[in-house]
Amino acid sequence: MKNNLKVHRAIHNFTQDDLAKEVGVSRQTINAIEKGKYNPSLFVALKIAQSVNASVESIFELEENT
Amino acid sequence: MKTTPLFPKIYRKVGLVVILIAVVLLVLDELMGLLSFLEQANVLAIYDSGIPLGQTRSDNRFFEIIQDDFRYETLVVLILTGLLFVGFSKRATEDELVQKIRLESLLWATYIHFFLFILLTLFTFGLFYLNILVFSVFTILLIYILRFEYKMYQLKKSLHEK
Repeated sequence: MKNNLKVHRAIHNFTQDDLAKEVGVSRQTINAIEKGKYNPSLFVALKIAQSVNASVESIFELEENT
Repeated sequence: MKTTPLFPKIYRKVGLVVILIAVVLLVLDELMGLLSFLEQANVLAIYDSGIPLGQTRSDNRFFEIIQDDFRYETLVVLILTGLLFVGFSKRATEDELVQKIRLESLLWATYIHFFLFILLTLFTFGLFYLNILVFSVFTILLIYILRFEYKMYQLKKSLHEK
């Protein structure tokens, strides 16, 4: 799964730590999501979308071969 | 999100202390018989079959206070308690990624433990096999803790990577 979370984070001037606290996960989790090493649950994806004021589909995208 | 039943964060340090105490007791007992007072301890036996295994009813004892060497039991319970505390205490942030790593580590530990156990059961014999049985009590917890801690360390390290 691809994502442009870093871009959305930059728009709102959030650090990974800020976003992590807002969403209720660890900074390591936000980092792992941004690097594409971890796909979040629906709940966390929705919380992230809410925090950066965007839709889930504008942040996360399925890769073509999936 | 459902919370997983885990020990409070502080239990990780408590567990390490308990393991350390057990190791120190073991070493001191080997060197100077520190736990010799436990060699004839009065203990509750829910079942005691005796050695060799009793065949008649009178050789088996149920729910009796008996005198037995309790050193092994003391050390095993201390070490297992310590390992359980270390392995199953909460992290600073117990989120879904940590829980995923925890679950995967338990799965790996189970696979490796039983793979080794089956292998050793098939190819080791004699009194040595008793050592395998004794050690197999600890391997699943040890492998789980090692893998879980390693994955958590990798996760922390990845924060500093570009």
